Amino acid sequence: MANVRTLRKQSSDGDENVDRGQLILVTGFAIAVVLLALVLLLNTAIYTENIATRSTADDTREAVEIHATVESTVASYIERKNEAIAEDNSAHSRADAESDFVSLRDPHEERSLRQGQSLSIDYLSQTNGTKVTSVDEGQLTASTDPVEIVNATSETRSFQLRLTDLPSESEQTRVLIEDTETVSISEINLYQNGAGEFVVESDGEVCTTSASEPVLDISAGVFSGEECTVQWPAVGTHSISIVNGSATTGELSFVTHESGDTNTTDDRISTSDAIYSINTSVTYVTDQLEYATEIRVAPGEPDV
Amino acid sequence: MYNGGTDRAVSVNIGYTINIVIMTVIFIGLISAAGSVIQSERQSVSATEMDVAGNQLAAEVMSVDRLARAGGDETVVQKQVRLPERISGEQYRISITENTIELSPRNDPLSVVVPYRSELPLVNADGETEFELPGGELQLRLTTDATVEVRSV
Repeated sequence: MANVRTLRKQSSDGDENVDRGQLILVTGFAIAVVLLALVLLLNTAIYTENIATRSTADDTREAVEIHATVESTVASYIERKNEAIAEDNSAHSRADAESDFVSLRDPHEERSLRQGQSLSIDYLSQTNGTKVTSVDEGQLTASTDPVEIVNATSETRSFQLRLTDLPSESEQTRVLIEDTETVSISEINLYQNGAGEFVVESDGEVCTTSASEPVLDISAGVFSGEECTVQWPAVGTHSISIVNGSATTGELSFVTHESGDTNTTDDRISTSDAIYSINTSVTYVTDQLEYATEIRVAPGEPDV
Repeated sequence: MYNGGTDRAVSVNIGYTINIVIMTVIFIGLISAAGSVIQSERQSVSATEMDVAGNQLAAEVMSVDRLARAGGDETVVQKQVRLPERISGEQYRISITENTIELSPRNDPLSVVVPYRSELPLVNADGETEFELPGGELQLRLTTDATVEVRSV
């Protein structure tokens, strides 16, 4: 049997001191084990909290942003280029698009390289078209008779009318969009009601505004900033005409696919070469994500 | 036995036995109390970790879905999702259905369900929309059938 009494000893002042070392030692050891386990658990909890507060899907979000940036950059380029061609077609040409694309993509690619990611944006092709605008602010067309502005085009985008003055309901101006395959006609009527409000009427939908010089975006279905769904033919070949356009003052503009015939003889309508759409490819690679896609950019194309 | 007046008639054996008993009771008490605390903390930490991992996976799935739908027919999306191999030292499995991701440890009834929304359906390599995978690194890949394939890496 162990001699547990050997620890009994005489203290310096002569009192006898009984040492309970084993008990204290074992108890201390048990407490240490418990504390250690709690510390480990707490550490795991803190680590988990740390992970939880980190943002996830960073590179995926970056890819979505790149996609949106390419779309908006190319859309903005197309708009600027079309305006430049309309102003001076001797200095600007839609054939410049491929070479101009290099200066559009380089800043984005360089920024990604600095962040250790691989981004490649490439020009693939373009579709040419014609930009149709009013010569200046004034009558939409010179004639009260129907004026066919574009015939048998496959696509039209960014069709906008900025309205300065409209006739009464009985003399309303009508925009006709005819689906040349089904021969169905979508009609948009423009007039001013008795209260002096501008009215847009299409397929039973009536939109009014009292704003001055409101813009009717036919492609987007927006009138003076408010949603106004106008009838637009389903995807297919169509023609656009205006009836009694001389009764309305304002400006029209749209871009139509090169397949359409825009040789109108109306003095109020002006046409110029334009880029209808550009196709690009985007490839974005990080250590966790590989993303490659083709993007067709045609700003203001209707959702049909 | 007389020992200079300090012996209180307690035998050596009894004193030693009492020491052992007290020590054992204290030790068992501490261990059992700490054990239950540790067990409940471990479950809590495990549930939190699974919740975090599940939400990370759901966020990645939704991002991949958004990215895949933003592109055209030629779009390629392949994403690695680095989830932990073990949660609280235990292996776990991931069950995916049409709207939920469930994470559960292999030897524990505890499980965490995280909802997600994806326009493109999640499928496994066999094209099933309800399936199970072991926890760990996963790969999400857009297929030509407009689905997102999930598989272990």
